[in-house]
Amino acid sequence: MSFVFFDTETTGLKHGFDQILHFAAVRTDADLNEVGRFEVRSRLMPHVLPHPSALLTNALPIERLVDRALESHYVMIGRIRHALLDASPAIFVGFNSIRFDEEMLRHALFQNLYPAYLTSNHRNCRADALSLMMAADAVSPAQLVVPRNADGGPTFRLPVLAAANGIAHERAHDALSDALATLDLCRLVRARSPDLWQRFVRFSNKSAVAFFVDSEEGFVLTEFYGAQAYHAPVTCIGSDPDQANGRLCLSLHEDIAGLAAMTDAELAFHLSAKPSPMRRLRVNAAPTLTALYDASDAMLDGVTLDEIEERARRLQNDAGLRARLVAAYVARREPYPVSPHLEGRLYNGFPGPEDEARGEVP
Amino acid sequence: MSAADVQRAREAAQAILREFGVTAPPVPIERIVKSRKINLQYAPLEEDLSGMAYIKDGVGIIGINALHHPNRQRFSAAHELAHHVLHDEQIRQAVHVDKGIRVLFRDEIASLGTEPMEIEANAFASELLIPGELLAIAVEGGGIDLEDETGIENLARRFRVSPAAMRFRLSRME
Repeated sequence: MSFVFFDTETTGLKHGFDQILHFAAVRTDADLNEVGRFEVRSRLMPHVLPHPSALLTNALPIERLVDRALESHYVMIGRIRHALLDASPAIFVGFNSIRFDEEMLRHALFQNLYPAYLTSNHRNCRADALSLMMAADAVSPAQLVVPRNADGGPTFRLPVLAAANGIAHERAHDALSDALATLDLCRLVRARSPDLWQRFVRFSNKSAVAFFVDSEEGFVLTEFYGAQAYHAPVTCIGSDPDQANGRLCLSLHEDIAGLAAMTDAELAFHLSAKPSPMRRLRVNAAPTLTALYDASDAMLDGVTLDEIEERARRLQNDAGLRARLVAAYVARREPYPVSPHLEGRLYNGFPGPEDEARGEVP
Repeated sequence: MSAADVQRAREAAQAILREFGVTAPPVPIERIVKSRKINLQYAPLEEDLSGMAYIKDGVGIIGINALHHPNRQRFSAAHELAHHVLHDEQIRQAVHVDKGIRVLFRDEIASLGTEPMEIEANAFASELLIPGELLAIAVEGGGIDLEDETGIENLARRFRVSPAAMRFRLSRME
């Protein structure tokens, strides 16, 4: 049982249409001591046109990508799958991995007819070190040096963040080097902000997140937009009817009595405000959560804990209002069109048991 | 080796419940652990390892397997809390003996409850997470059939424990 720190280098940013060129994983024990590493590259698939920016970023000349001595993409994905299954169950961690590397990996598995959700199944957990770094900066800023960009805002790009914190990162955008830098940053946060690290590990477990948001009257949800952290005390008002792993949460800065007095149309209009008082989280995406009793005053933004708990209780005791809020929020959604391309249909359904079994063949 | 004192273990759990003013399930085990200044730590451990209890630099620590289901994690946390509450002397001694952090593991032997300390810890955890008074209210004094899988699952869900833990508790209900 262990952590697996991993990274991918790709031909571009478009899931399903770009490909992984280089994959690396570093396996550690529970104390983040390295116990093994794995690395594999593949040549370019004939139908994939690499994005020039990706080639510049990865510093990969086109001659290298078409080198026949490299593994085929199919062989590489098979080897990755074998290595990750061998490490399972584990907590999979990357840098911006929930939004990017995990998606690239899922699509690659899908397109090679393997079960796509390797890092979610097999009793695995997953978490994103980028969220951990942003949370560390937001919760205990003295523990992490966050460099500033030209506009004066914080930047969490891996190479500059690693350098600012004294972490050797000689080959930025090399998958192995990036995985090692991610591991080193995690070691740093683990040592300096142990409580934050504990929450990070705990909420890598989808069941633990679901249990927490469903059973706590209220909690603080921290979300990140444009490298800025936004904290909101919220309460979970129900599951997302369109997604089993989705949970809909309402900001506890809201006036609950005022909401209860609104008509359905008024509620729908109110929830359409930006930012919406309704927040959506995915229990399988390692959200950044803090129990109310662990939250700092800054996280509660001027409202007392008693007030927040009272609002949460009031909402939890009003099933009718919660149902109206969910309905009003969901009614605003536009239908999600099915992609005309097979590459874009990973999330349009699950393979049947027979196909799933075929994909599980070693 | 002395025999397990199950009654003492249950009374210790009941005292904590009174102190914390728990009046309805689920019992907030995480808050209870933290209120006693014990660090609750999560880590990806071997599958058969549920948790561990130890004292490091004078600070009580409970380690929980991050890969396990939350219901199992709650029971592990309560079980390990029992070692801190009931077996403080032993886990201090064991730290010295083992020169490190791994002291008391919840392994398969412990789950079977064959060691007196483990029997006491299981009784404590069971009473703490499924307090007798709250369980009596939940079953409305009518008892429950141990063969009634659905009934046990519903009860387990209310108390946020596994059906196995609920069955264990019901089988020992007085």
